[in-house]
Amino acid sequence: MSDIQKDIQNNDSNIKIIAFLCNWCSYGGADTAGTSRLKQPSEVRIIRIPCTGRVNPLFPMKAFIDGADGVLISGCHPNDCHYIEGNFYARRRLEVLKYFIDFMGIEKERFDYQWVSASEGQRWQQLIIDFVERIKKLGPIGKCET
Amino acid sequence: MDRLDILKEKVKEILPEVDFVIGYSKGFDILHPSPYFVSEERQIRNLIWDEFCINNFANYLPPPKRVPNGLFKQDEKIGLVVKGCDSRSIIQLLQEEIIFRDTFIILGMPCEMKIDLKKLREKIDIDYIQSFNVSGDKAEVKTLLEKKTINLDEILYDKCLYCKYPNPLIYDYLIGDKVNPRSREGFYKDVDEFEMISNEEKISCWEKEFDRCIRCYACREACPNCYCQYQCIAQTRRPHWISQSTETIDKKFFQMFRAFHNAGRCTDCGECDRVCPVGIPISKIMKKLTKEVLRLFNYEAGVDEKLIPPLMTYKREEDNIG
Amino acid sequence: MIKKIPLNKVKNLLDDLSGDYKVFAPVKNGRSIIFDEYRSDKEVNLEKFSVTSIKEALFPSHEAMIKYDYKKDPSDLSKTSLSLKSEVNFDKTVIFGVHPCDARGFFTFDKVYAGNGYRDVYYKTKRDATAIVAITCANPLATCFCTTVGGSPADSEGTDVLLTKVDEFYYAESYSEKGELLLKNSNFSSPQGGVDNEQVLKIKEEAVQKLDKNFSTEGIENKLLKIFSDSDYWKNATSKCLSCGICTYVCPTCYCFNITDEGVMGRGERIRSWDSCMFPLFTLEASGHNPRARKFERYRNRINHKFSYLVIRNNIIGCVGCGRCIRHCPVSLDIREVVKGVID
Repeated sequence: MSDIQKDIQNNDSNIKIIAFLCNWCSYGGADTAGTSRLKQPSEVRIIRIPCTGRVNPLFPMKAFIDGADGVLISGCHPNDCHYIEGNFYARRRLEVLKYFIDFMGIEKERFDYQWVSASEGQRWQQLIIDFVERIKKLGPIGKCET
Repeated sequence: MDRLDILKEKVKEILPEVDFVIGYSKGFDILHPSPYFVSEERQIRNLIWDEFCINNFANYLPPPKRVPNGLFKQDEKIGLVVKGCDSRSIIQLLQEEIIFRDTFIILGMPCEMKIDLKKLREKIDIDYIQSFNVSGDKAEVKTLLEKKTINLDEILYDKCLYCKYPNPLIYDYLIGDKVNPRSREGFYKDVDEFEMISNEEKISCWEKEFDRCIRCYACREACPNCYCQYQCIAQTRRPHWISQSTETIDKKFFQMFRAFHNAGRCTDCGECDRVCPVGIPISKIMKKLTKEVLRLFNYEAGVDEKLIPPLMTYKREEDNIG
Repeated sequence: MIKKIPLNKVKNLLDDLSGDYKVFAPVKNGRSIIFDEYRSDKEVNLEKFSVTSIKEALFPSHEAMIKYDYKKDPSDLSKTSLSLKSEVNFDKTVIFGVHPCDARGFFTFDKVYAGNGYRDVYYKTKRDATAIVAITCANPLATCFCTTVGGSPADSEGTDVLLTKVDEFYYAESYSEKGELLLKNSNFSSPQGGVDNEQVLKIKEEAVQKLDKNFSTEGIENKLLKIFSDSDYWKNATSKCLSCGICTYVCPTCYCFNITDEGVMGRGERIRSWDSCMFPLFTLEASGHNPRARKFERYRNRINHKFSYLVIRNNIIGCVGCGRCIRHCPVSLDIREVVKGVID
């Protein structure tokens, strides 16, 4: 049995985290972490997206409604967007979304957006470990939250 | 001269230029005026203007809503009565370039106040209303069963109580004199209070509210900004974003994405809240968004036609994010 | 059988009943009164008019028709098994505190879902297990027009028990075996003779007199067909309509539904949920063509369905005159005016 499978089996926290990662930066960043054998928490399900600007705020909302305990969106650093300006739009939308879902009963700590470049494998590892810890502390999303 | 008389005269004047003018007429009782489409001169006498004329006629403007509906043709010109708050909806639609300024004439009505029937209903059983008279800052209400004097401040719409734009910001003709704006301070009071409560309380509160939603989509249809029509993902099967069931969670999800779709666009006209047959406080959700947009981007929707709505643009260095 | 019950014992009665039955009653929910399942912590309001009608009890806003589950065989992934479950079981139900018009609303459902043609098992089983307790409507509203369409505020048709409020009591008359069974509850007591009876009759008569007849429904089905192609009339009458679904969803006789499969990863339900002919999506065809794309066509269909098609096909007017669609319409579109316009 591989390490990952063991990890999944030992993982009794039942936390589900969805991460939307930009193809050009953060997905590469997570990949870099993987190829450098940096261990990542197994609670995270990664969805590759072309750009954070592609993220319709509906995506994270739907993820929460369908039972995700945390949603992380990550893309290129501002000014580094592959499509020049995608993440600038995303920044505005996601910032409003963060406070909005909090108002509707999904704690804003469950949601985050970050900038990770393809070379920052270590940064990705730290970030995702911290995020998973944060969600674990909050516990599974309440049934009525979803 | 009375504001209504000026309005009637103006309607008479512009009627030859337009196919019809949308104003208010009497509904089934004195509290429920109804939109009225004036296309002939003899209809003008039926127009009314009082504390209950609340409908936002900007909603009849977006072509996706009107043209396929056969309401009027693309090239027709119309006139409409527009209050201060409604004028913001029109500016917002102009900003989105969904409507064009030369296709309609705005009869701007400075507006003192409108009575919130949901608040009035808490004070008195308005099902049996007989008369409603305003004198000073009080209203005398008579129903079949009782008679009461009510402070106006207790029954005004929130948006009127803190009305910053009582005079239309955009108009072709201004009907009567301008009125004084009120202070905006305290407008977001209910939102602030709600933010302070615990997450569990928020959840159970929305749970209770959305439990009685019947998914009639009146909030959507009454909103001038909601013109997706067939494409609204609330009902489309492909893409299949949301279940058609009436589980509380689905209804809450619907309102969440409807609200967020209006982020940075909502002008707090309050139509969604007003039309809800089961009294879900939708405007509280919308106000939260306008509050955040104001805080983050220092932007109010529908105030300046030249500005770009905040979520359709960006700054390299954001002032309030980061 | 005639019995009476003091006003302050109604709560006891409902608590009693909810032991043996599923009880639906007009309860306060937030600022509104809606029909919902009764629980003792809910506040019942029998005086005011509820926003929603009682059709929710027999025709829920959504109900699962089938539950399905595709399962892969772990030893042979090419094999998939499908399990289907369809459950129709229904508890004995009492719908308490409705207006007589609401009770009549089920007549339309009966014709369509339990008539001579198709029998809808989901509706029919519930209908058979349900008893209706109505209350004489002593103070009709300005929007009420039940007498116009053949009802009455003191109508006993379609009810099992009719309550009439006299001072501090409700007088209860049963009209069926189900009703008599309900009146055996210990919270009811026997009334003292004829005086009360007269009072009840007087209240009923007064209530009827409070309502005017708005129009005559005689021959209306043909008049509507005649005016069908007069699109100017319909456009003018409905130009203010917003195409929302309030009128159809609060209506006690609107019975249209949509069937959708809701599930994820091969597992889910086939549900039937309310649909409204006011939505353009209601008639949108797969080709992209929409036979009722314009809202006057949709509204015309609603009126025609109620006052013409149902009359011709099932000999029943599909409107009970409860006035909900007028009261709750965001633009106060008055169905009476539209129908009156057809007749004139």
